[in-house]
Amino acid sequence: MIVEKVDQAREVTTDIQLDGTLLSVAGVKINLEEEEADSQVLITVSLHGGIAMRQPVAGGEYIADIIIPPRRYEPVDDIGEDGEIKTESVPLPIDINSVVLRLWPISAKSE
Amino acid sequence: MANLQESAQWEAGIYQIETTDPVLGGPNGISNVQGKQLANRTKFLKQFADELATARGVSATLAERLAKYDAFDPEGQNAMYGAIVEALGLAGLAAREGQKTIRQRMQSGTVLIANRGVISGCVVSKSAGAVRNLSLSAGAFFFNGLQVPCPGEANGAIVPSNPGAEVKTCYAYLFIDGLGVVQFSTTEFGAAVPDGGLPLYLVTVPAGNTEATDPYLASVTLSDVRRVESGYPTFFSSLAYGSVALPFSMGDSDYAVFLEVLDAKGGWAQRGSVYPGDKGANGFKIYVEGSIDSVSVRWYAVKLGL
Repeated sequence: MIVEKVDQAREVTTDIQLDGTLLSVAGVKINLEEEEADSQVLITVSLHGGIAMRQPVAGGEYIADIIIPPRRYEPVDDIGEDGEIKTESVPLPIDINSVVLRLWPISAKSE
Repeated sequence: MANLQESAQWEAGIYQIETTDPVLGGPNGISNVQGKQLANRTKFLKQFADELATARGVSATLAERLAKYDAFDPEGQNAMYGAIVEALGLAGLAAREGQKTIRQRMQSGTVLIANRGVISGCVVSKSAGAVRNLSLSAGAFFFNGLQVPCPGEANGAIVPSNPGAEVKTCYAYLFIDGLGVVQFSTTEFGAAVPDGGLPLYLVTVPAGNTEATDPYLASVTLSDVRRVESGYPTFFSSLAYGSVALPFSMGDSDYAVFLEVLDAKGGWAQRGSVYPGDKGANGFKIYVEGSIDSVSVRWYAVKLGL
């Protein structure tokens, strides 16, 4: 997994755990394999009233963006009953190394 | 002849010379007692008069001088002190509010958004014939607002050895050199792709993986990180965007964002819309709809009611 910080100069203390394809960000669990799709998937984890949630950020504070690249396919030749070779696209397993976890800093409170 | 010795003291009374007093001179002679007592009183009064004259200053009378002090009676002085404290407080508040307006109510900064990717091909694979080399398939990519043909390159980039005890990663990427030639390369371990580069694959090299132990990269993993946009430039499956982390929280998403495009690679007709979105209390995103690249954007986030 590629872990990036939105602001390199600021510290981020978000709790992150990865177990196989199960990613946990601040306690919010995301199964990356289940979320993968044919186009890029962007999942936002945000903080609302001190509780981390997986939902649009409106009103809350960003914690992390998880960017899952589009599902990859591999062409596989298959010999049909009529003896013809047919090429099918078979989805490849998700490559966790391609997933981007972008971490947001929590801003200072207004004075 | 000598003068009487005077001392500044107030004499309670003046001695009356009696008919029986003989005429006797000298410092303590009875005939000098009256004069000495009057001289003492005079000296006493002179000292007092001098003190009052000093206190009067440039005023015509002491009363006039004292009348000026009547304007600063204790209540007046308290009022004046209170007014000064309040004025200083308001000045401090104004300074704080001014700072808050500059730093928090009107936050600003710049962000650089890369809008580049692969149109087709540009697949990286391990070389079967050259030691620790990667090959690149032909294809096309978009970069600096242009569609660029990629001729492909066999054995075009070397994967560094990792004799250390930890897994390390680097990137395989494309860039266009000073002569306009497409180049295929890898970064150093742990380094990001340079600003002018197009990331293609993340290369994960296990610990102890070297030319001697793994010449053809059997244990090295290539992870595809290409942004593939086959519909470029008319359709993007995912828009390029930049993330902006605000230094100070806006409290919620009820604030305005103003953008100014400072620079970009590509023609202005390719710009499309550059707009803010996904506002959160601690940041927002800036999306690029067009096909320009290296978009430098100045942003202003404003919430006057903060």
